[in-house]
Amino acid sequence: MVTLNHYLLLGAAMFAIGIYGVLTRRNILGILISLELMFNAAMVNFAAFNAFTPDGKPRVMPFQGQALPELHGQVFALFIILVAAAEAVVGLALVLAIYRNLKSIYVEHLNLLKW
Amino acid sequence: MLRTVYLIPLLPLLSFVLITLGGRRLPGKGSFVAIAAIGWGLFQSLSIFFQVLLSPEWHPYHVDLYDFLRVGGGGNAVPLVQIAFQIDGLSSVMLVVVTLVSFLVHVYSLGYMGYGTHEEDQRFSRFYSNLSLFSFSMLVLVLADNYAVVFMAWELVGLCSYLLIGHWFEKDYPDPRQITPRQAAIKAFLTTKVGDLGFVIGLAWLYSLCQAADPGHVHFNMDYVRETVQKGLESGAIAPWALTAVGICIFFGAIGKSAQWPLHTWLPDAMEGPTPVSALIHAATMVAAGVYLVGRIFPILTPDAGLFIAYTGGFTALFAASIALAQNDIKKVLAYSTVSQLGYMILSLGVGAADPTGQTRGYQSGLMHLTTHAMFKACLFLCSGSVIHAMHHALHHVHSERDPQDMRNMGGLFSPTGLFGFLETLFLLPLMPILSRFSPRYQEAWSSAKMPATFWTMLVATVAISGVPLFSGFISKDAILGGTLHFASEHPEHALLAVFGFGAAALTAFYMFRLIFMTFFGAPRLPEHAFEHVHESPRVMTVPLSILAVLSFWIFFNPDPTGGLITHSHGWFFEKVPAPARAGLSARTETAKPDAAAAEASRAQGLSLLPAAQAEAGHADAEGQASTGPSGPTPHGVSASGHAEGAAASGHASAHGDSGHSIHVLALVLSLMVAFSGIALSRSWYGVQGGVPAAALAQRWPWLYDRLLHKWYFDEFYRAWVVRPGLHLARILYDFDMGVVDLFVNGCGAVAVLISQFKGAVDTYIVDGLVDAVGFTVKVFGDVLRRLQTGIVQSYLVYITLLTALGVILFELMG
Amino acid sequence: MAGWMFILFALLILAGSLGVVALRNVMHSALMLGVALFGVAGVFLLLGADFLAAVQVVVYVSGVLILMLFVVMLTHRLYDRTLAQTNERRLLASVLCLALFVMLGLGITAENAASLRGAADRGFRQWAGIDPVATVGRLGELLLKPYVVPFEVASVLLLAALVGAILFTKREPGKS
Repeated sequence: MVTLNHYLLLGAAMFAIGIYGVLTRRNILGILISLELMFNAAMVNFAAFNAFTPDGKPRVMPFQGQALPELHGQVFALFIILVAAAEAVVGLALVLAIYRNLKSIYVEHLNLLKW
Repeated sequence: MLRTVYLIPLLPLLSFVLITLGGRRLPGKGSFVAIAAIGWGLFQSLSIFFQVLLSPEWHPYHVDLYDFLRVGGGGNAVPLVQIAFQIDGLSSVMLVVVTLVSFLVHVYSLGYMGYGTHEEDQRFSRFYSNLSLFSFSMLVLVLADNYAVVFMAWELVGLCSYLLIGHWFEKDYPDPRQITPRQAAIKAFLTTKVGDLGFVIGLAWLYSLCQAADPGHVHFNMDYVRETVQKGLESGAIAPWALTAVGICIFFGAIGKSAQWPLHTWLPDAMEGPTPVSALIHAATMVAAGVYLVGRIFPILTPDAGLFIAYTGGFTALFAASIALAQNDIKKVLAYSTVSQLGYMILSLGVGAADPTGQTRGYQSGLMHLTTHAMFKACLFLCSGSVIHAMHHALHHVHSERDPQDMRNMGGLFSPTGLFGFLETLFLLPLMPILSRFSPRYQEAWSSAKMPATFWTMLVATVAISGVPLFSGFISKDAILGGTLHFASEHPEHALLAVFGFGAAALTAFYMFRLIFMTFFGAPRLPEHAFEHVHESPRVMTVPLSILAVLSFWIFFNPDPTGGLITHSHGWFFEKVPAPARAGLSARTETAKPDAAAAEASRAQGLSLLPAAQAEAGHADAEGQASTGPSGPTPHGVSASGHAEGAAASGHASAHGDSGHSIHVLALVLSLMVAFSGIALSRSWYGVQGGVPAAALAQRWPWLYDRLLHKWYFDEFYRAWVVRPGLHLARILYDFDMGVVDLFVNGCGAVAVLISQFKGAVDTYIVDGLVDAVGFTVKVFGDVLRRLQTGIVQSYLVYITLLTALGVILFELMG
Repeated sequence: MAGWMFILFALLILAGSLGVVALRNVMHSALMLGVALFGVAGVFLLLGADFLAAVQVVVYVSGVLILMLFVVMLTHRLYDRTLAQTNERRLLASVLCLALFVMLGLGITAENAASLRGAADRGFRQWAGIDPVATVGRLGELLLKPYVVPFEVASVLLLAALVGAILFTKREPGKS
């Protein structure tokens, strides 16, 4: 029997692994990729909470009268995808710009603001 | 001209400011500016003087300039000091005297201070600036219409005197006993201050007296003071003895400034200043300010105060003359001569004040002598300056260290050959240029004369001061002696005053001709090669001498060379400077009237006295005893006066004239006798025998000679009894200051230092410690936190994650 | 059946994720990300979010991932292979992540929370009994009615991202 807890634990694992990647990767691209993992962990959680809506009563939409499950969680997941896409675009553009200027995409080299 | 009279002192003041500020960059290094300022003053003074002289009746003209020091409250506040000028006969004469002598001295100083030569004085501009300041002060003094302003100017001239005596303040002498210019300056300043103290006390007392007489409306204008004193005496608000004391107190100022005994010691030492200064300040003008002051307070002098003044002046005249007999420094002789002549003037004014009737004319005679004396004494000083200048030059040429002012180093400066007798010189003087064309002897003497201009001018001035007829000194001195004799004849108990007068006259003639003989005649005592370098002074010096010498002739003061015996006119001076109305006489209100009447009656009797007096005089010996002559018959006069009251009323006017006349004739004869006997003795001792009899006399009475030479030991006396106790007192006070006051002050200081150190420690260790601790903490935290700022994004993320994990843990634990 | 499917997808996700963080080659990491994303899409299907799964595949796998691959290839260098791809913070980070995971897991499985989830699970069972329906229409309604403002803001965000990306990648005129 797969319960909500399983999904949540899966998301937590993904999130932890993503954080590990963000913290340890030297390559900016690696960090960006790991960030995507974390986004996905959040999306999994939203989708799971949406599916396991408590109290079991399907929300009756006032305008249709049709019994449909509420999908607010999925809407949030959609927005996350959107934000992740925007993040990826801007982040990758930054990576290209950095690479063009520094000829490197290793975070240790981005230390111009260091004390 | 009258309206702008303030220009006369103002221009020298401006010149003083200009020269002080601009000094060496002005034309003539400032001297031309000063000369122009005083030259204008001379011009304006002369025009005012002639305006006064030519007007038939002159009323004093007053100019109010500025009100100063208002006293009293509310609407009736009165300026205590009204800076106001007045032009009356006396001040117009004094203006001319001051500006004339000052102008000539200004010009003369160009030569004396070596303008434009390599011997130019190093403080040339400063000299002229001080001269300008002096001219300003002195002119304010003579113009002032207010006793307080007189006092201010009085102190200013004292300051100028100090500055100018100390002009060569760097000078030092090898002999430590010889006074240096700076010591002389301090001495002059302090000694006159002693007198000024009396002056101030007198003024303050006078103020309180005036306030008693006229409460709430008191100021110091001269006319007002006279009227108030008069009112106070009549109403009894002012006690006569207090007024006498006031007069004596103010006269103390004159004692100091005019160098009267016993404060006379500063004036001879003031000769350390440059000679033009001696001529201007210490002979002609400033020292005469004391006499002028007595003239200005004359209205409020009581007869008793007048007696005090007369005795002081008379004694000084004889005393200073005695010292002048034995001095060898040419300027010292002249200085003591000045003291003596000032004593004369004071004597005359004192006698005039002591005589309630005004018959002695002491006021006018004294001030006239002031005027004539200013001319010939300035001339004498400038001549001596010329001689010293030449001597200095000659001695400098041969690098000699001998004193250029010592008459023992001079001799033969006019007639080195000795061919030229004194009497010949004296009597053939006007004919000399003509005679020298015909007689080879005269020609030789004429052509070999070393300093003819200096000699002639000095001779004229000497003759004038000695009281020889046809010279100004004779007129004024004769008037003084006549007045004194007149007074003595009426008050035989004061016959001593006449002795003083005639004795001083004899001594004056003697020592002045001693000076002439020692300086200009006989064999030269300079080394031969030095004597060759003696030259006449430049024209800029001899022209002022000539002007002053010409002004020493009788004609400028009275066309009658006897002073009134022929024309019965005493000259313009007596007309234009009338004796002021005397408030001081009101002291003897009821009781005085009969006395005055008695005195006038006795003068009526004087007509009968005259033959007796002349007979007595004829019997008496030439000099000393002559003065006692009139004292013989006067008891007759006084005893007879009581009986003659009735007769006096009828023959009043004519009796007056005759009485004065007869006494005058007697005085004239006596003064001629003493003058010529003095000159004759001087010629015999110094002109013919080269000073041998004097030396013999000195050996015979070494005691007396020693006293004379050392000026009666007054300096030593003051040093022992005034200066040294003063220094001791100063030393004691100094020790007290150092030991007690400073101990206290230092103790306060030490306590303050301790407190400060404590506060400093608090500041350093506690306050600063706190501040440092704050800074240190920030630094430590900064050091630690800086390490977190790696610039590596991932390390920040580590912290974020760590904190998030901790937050989660906390959430779990709490919840 | 659903249990096995969940296990399959979960393993796929975990394997992909670990591959992302563990592999040295960035290219391989990106490819492993694709595996993980596919797993997530499968989980979405299990949760009845069919449209979300489709979007996940279309946008993420074929959009974002392809973009990343492009960039990886653009910035790739030969020495990348010889260099360490992880920093010296490995141990700290692994401990931290493990701790975080444990904490989250403990929170998820805690007793008081479990009761709530039991109810949720019951509801899921009831809901799961309903025939699967297409969620697209409902999502469309939601997006254009109650969420219309966030939707429009999101579009502005995308536009800004577009412009920003162009701006960042554009070569500056002075530089070649």
